[in-house]
Amino acid sequence: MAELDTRARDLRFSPLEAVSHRLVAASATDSVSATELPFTTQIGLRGDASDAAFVKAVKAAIGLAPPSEACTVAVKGDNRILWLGPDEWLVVAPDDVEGALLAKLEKGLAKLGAVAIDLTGNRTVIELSGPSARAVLEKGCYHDMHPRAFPVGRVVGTLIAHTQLFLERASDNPETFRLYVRSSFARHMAEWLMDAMAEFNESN
Amino acid sequence: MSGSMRLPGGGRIDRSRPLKFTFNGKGYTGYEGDTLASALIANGVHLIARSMKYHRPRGLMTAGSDEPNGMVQLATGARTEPNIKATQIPLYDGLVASSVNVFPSVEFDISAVNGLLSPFMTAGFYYKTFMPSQAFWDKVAEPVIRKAAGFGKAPTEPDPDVYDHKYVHCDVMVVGAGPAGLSAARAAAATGARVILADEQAEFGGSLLTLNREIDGKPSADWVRSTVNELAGHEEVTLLKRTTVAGLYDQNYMVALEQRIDDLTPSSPANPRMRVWHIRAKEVILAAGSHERPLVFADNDRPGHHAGRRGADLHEPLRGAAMQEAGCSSPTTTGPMRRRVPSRRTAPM
Amino acid sequence: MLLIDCPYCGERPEIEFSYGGEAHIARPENPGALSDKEWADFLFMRGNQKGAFRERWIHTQGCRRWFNVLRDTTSHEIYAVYKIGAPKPPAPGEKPVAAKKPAAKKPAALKKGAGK
Repeated sequence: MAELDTRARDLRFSPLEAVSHRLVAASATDSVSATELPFTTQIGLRGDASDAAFVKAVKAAIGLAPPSEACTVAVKGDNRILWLGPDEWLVVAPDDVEGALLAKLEKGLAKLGAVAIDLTGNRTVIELSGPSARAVLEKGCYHDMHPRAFPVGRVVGTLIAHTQLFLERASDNPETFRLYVRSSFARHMAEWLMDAMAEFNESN
Repeated sequence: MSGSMRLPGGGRIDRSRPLKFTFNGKGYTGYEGDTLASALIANGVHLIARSMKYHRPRGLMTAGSDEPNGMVQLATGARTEPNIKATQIPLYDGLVASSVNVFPSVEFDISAVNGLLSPFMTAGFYYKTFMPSQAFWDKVAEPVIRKAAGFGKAPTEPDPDVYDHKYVHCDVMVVGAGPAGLSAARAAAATGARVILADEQAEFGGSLLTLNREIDGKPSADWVRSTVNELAGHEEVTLLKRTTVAGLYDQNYMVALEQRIDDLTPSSPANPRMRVWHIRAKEVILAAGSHERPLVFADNDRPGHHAGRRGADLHEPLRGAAMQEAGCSSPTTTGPMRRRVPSRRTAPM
Repeated sequence: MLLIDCPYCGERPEIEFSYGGEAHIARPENPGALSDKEWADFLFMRGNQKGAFRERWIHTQGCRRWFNVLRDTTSHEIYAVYKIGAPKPPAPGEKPVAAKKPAAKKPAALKKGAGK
């Protein structure tokens, strides 16, 4: 089993691997840069946030309680839980080919009428960072991304360039957004980002 | 014949920077800061266009976006644009423009005969007048009317330019940067609110660009400068010049068009020619100014008649002179020049 | 473009939502017992009001939840937004509806506006 997992890890490729060098070229270090954060483990959670047993089970597995406030993210170390809906969350954690985290969650939620489902590979993460990051996204996103309306620790499901995604403000210094884009739309999103970033890249 | 109607000083132009341009195939010279309209008037060109139906001669009426007459075909080839108001075209070196809907030329236009014949067409210029028989309509009337109808020509080549759009949000959106708009934007910005100030002119100030008044104890031009500087110093203020707010929709949603490149500089993804702004505001302040209702008298549409948008202030220098301007003109941004517009007709005021 | 106040996520642009037609149309409990006309009434006939109108929206691109909107179909003004199952907020000029006890079940009847 362990050997099989190692081989799987060697063979797989991330949705934006083929354009990663172009993303680097389109980035401008002092204004805005885009990189893919490949191979994060993603687990969908459905449950009742007011059920103490559910919260406890999630906390035991991930070290984080699912946030009950709408459009917020709970972060601890490399793990995070994104609020997607009143009874729906997305766990994002480091690469976990063995599925240990999922197994732990499934075990804890087994008798609670709650669900943990492996969504790894459904979405990839693009990190857009730099003082012009917001200006880039404003070219295709209707959501107000001003820090007053969208501070660090918030996440929204919205559209950028006609593509559904979850948009998280991960940091203010430098301004950093995480775009959780469906894998099949990732190339489109990357191409759109490169085009939108052109205005801020001095070498153009 | 550069600037034969031009005053030696004053106005908002830079006389050290002459610009060459072509109108209807003829070369002229204007200055940096001119609009096509002001440069044409400075060169003594008043006949700009012909009316759509009777092809009556048309001159410039106003100084801004309310211009009903002075529509021209701007640029050539793939970049040509029909029906652009001469009052809204900042002059640039190498500008080429022409009258629309004229044949063979704006000075001698065959279709102007329609105007002379109009008393005999009791139903007006009605298409059935020209249908005594199907053959006459197909072979003669329709081709002739089609040639005479319409305004301007669409480009036949693909547009080489790059355009862009943007979605933004603000607490206060101020439309128009005249005295009211600037004051409103300044008051809003002082509270730390997110403010967007848009004005369709290349310079903020609105009516204060030509009116010399005193505000807060200083000349209005200085007040405009210091207010704009103050606004530019606020982090949360966005200043949009050459931006026309085209519509205000549900829940304070607005669409505005920003002209970013006015000359022949090639555009690129890094530098788009125009940008559409989609704006969602919590509060909207419309300070777009007013448009004058023209006085009604016979032939008030002929070249040489201008709407008197700026009112009584401008009457002063003209009082006693033969008034050819109904209410007095502001057809240009080059203020003092307008006193020299030659008089063609005296209208009772 | 409307600005819709999703009861879960807050104010968002209309483009994130999808429309679900008139709200508060209860599916008949026993469709088999209906005549063709009654079934067609349930399926197709809608109020199509001019003015205040209760309609369903779903926040498709966001939290993916259905909810109700009380919107004026002439001015596009949104008077109220409320969750599915929540009491109906009154329309302008309308008396507030007192919370009613659930009505006794009527067999196979068409219950328009019975709440979902």
